[in-house]
Amino acid sequence: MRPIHITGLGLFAPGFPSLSAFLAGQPDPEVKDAANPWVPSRLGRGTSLLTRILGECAAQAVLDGGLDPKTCGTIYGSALGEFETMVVLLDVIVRGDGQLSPMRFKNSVHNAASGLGSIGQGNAGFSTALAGGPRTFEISMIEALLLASESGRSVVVSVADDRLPEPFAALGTRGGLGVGIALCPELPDGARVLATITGLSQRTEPAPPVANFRGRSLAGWAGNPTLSALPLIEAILDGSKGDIPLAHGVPHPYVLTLG
Amino acid sequence: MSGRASFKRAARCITTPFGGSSIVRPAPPRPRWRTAPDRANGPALVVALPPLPITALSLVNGMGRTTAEVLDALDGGRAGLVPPSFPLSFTTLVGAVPGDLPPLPSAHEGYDTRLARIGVMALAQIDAEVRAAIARWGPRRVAILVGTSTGGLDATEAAYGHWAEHGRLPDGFDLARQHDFNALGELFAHALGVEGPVYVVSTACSSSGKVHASAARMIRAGLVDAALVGGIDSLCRMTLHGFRGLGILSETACRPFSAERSGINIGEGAALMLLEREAAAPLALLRGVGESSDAYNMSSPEPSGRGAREAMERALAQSGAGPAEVSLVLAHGTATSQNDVAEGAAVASLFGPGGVPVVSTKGYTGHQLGAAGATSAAFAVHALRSGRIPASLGAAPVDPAIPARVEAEGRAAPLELVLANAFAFGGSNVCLAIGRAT
Repeated sequence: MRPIHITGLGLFAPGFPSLSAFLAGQPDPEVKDAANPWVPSRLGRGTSLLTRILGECAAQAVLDGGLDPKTCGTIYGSALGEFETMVVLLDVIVRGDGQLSPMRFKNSVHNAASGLGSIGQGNAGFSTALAGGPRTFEISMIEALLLASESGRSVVVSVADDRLPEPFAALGTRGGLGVGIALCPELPDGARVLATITGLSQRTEPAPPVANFRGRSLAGWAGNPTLSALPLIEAILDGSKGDIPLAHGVPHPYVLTLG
Repeated sequence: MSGRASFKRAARCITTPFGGSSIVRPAPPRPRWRTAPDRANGPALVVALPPLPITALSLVNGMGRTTAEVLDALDGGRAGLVPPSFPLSFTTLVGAVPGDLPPLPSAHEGYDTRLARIGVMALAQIDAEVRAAIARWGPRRVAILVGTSTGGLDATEAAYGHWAEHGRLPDGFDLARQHDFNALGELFAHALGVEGPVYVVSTACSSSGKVHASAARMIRAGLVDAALVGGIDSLCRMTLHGFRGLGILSETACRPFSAERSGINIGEGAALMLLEREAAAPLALLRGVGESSDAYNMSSPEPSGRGAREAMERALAQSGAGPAEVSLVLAHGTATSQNDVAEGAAVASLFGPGGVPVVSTKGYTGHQLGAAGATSAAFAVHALRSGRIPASLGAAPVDPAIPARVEAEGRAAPLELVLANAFAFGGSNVCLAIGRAT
């Protein structure tokens, strides 16, 4: 694996439209939805909040990192995916007339954000959609690093999970959260380097679950696999070097080395 | 074993051991880098990569409960399409795994879904080979990458129905171990003791083709030495109602590429393969994987087949092969009007009209969605080993709007390199290039 530069970051959670807002720590109750600028409104009809969060985080990271949204690889990760859309469809089958909306059905696939982002940006290159349970952020980063390293191309990773609708709400995360990370094996013109990944390894000891971010409790997002991204984001913001686990609260996590 | 399939070079990756195993062990040889035009992504792609040995495979689907049953039906031209065993308000045929599905072992019964049962049926057939690979390479040097589009949706459907009737979810419903897309990967990892990367690719109907690309990258990078890859999907009402809503579900047996086709049948099943860094006597070689996006429409293919062609071109480029070296294309071939015409156009534009035999196997299995790509890959291995092109069941009379050489009858043929296509919602395309072991 060649060294990979991190050039951009993105974040969205209801109440926090950006990473800077999240760092400031004061939620804006008016911020309930993600803009998802990659997908025109007509194309985005009938999408879930999760799709919009994934698109928004990818777009933020690409803009921040100086990537070309028409050519960069895109990797979307979510543990539970389009659950909101699935429940809408299930209700039509179980309690309705069984006539599913074609638009909703198309948007129920796990790769809805991937497909819509590709169509919206005219990006005919690599795109994928992954799920790894509590390790979703970890495996999305691994996929991205290997793709960037082998192809020499820039890649954006967008990982998110959202609150589940009833009657499943108690079984999932308490709050929606997404992050985006722009990765470049070769730096675009004028791009700045936030950090450089020089290694990927696996350690024996599990890393503790992520409970705080810059001293603030993350209880509002308890159970969201995307929390595992926050120690890496914190290390990037602090300019830290060394090893950062990509998964927390699980056995033998993979670890990035920031050089 | 062919020297081309062997990686024995010093480590190239930069790595930092951190209280555990380093990811980088026997690193791949530096490939013969060269560049090829890539209209979508700029000027250069890495091509002509070393092939990977396929050392085991298994199949379960509507044609049979074992690999032998499935392949015997394929060779015999027997379809596995039947009326669904559960009530529906419309008529169709499905590719349902025949008979009752054996329950999971008690240690794993919390993962119980139809999907998991089908997956375990497939895994059990190659359990010895997979465990041997784990013993050979070590549990952290093996990955499990599964493609699925439904996950455990059948269990969630039942849970929602229970909630609608009783006002509460059923006792025992476990979201993480039943609905979660990666539950099956987790189940396999627990059962096998695998500690390497375990995850799901879920890009609808291209899912289980794309896992081969991810696994190949991992092996080439030196992250792992072996990977259990494949696809698994199970029948559920959501997909049947959904495709009916799109107006493309056939009431009768699907007939890909036929002038008389009337849409798709949905199937279920599993196809698993074991990829290893090197092997003495592989079944076949994964020579390349091409991935692309249509960037056109969420559910309709780009009409000229541009994205499909790019996926095939990239698979060939990784293989270091040209179109003239391809013996057979196992098409996505769903039997929808749009897919068959676009794919036919893509094949014709790359190989020329009549340039290569084209077969769809959806007429045997139905469209297995997330398991479709891996099933085609397994059929490709079988075609190479048996020297037989399967019949494209139901294709005659071939639609004259499809400018490809569709093989309506099975026949013996010397085969060296087979392409297996899988295309999906979202415009996600993948093509696997599988070569005969030498």
